[in-house]
Amino acid sequence: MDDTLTRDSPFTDVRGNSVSDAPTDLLIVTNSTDATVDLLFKHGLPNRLHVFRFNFDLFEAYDVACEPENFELVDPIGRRCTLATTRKAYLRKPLPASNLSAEAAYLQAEQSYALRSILNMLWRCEKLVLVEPDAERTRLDKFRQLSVASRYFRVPRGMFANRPIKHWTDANLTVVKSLSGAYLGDNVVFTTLINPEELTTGYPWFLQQYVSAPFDLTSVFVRGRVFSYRLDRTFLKETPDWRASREENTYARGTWVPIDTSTSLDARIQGYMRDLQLHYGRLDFLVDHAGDVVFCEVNPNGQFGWLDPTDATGLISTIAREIAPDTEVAPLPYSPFGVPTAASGAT
Amino acid sequence: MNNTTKVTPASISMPPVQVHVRGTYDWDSQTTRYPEEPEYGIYASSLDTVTGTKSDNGGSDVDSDRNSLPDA
Repeated sequence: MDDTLTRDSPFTDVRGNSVSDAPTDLLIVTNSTDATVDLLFKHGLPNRLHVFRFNFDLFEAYDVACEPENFELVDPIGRRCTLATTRKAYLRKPLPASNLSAEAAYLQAEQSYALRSILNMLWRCEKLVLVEPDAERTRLDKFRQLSVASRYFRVPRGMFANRPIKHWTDANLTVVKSLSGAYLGDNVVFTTLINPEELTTGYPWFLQQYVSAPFDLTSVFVRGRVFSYRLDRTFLKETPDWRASREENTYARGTWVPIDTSTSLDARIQGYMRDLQLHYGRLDFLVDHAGDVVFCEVNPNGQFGWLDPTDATGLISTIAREIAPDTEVAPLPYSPFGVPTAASGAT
Repeated sequence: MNNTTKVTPASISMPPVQVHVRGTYDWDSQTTRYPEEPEYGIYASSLDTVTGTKSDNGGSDVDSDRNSLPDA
């Protein structure tokens, strides 16, 4: 493929090479404030020479050009990335900004469209690795997740409704969750215990049976490897959602404890992720008083940095190796473009 | 809406825990540097607001109200 866009490109890369022979190799798409990517640099990614970090929140700092069969990104110090120079691309969190003016919102929408086009180009060319764009918003919605999960795990009953539910088991032990995770003004709807008969008619509600559990369990699946961590929930006095806790140590290092799930859980996770055709995901579980694992959800682009910021369990370095430009390219197992891939199963 | 009962999404919503972080994005290392390493919530990537402006030293100031809301 021709690596030259129709416009002039007066840039040289950081090594002083001409743009035509400057391999960037790994493209990371995220935001500048994504500390997880900083940790990837810290624990294994080569710095500068073979990695191009594109920060969506700094879009205007880059020179960006895109045509039907190629794109070019150039950062302010001359580092350059095109479709041809990219060996792998890794999608982290190019989150949009909120509370924008009308013009800024328009600009961001156009930038988002262009970025999505670039990601589709990379996906079509089997250069995207680990994270499938928008999987949870397209083919792997919560209901599909729960349906497939029932093959492998205990799954609490869940349903969407827009009116009070009168025939719901354990009516006083029900939680509501947000399906979309959208903000409500400055607030968030965390997982909350409610009486389903008191829900206001007409509003959208996602209900799930409450699970009394002394532990949260989260497992990070990285193309065949599983890293599991457990959180003691005994400090949760007023909320079933640990993210809503105001306990200051909830996010502190060491709160989530690594645990070995190799004999109890990993094989089921392998089967589940194979069925979903995902190479990466963070699966959230509850562990009930009998020690049984209850499935909550899988986030196909779940963040992981806070679980092991020192890389004590090797999670971050494992992901760094997966996306490193000089290791095997394992294309995403699912493709919407009708192109069969060689990596249809986890290895 | 036919409000027959009292629970609404707004009535059970609450603000996420937030920590204000100011750092400088360094184009050379492609990482954001902070005056001191923040621990509380820094590894969450859901952001409330982010602004970035290129500064004279070649970096970009990134000033965010980082909420500690992992995408669970």
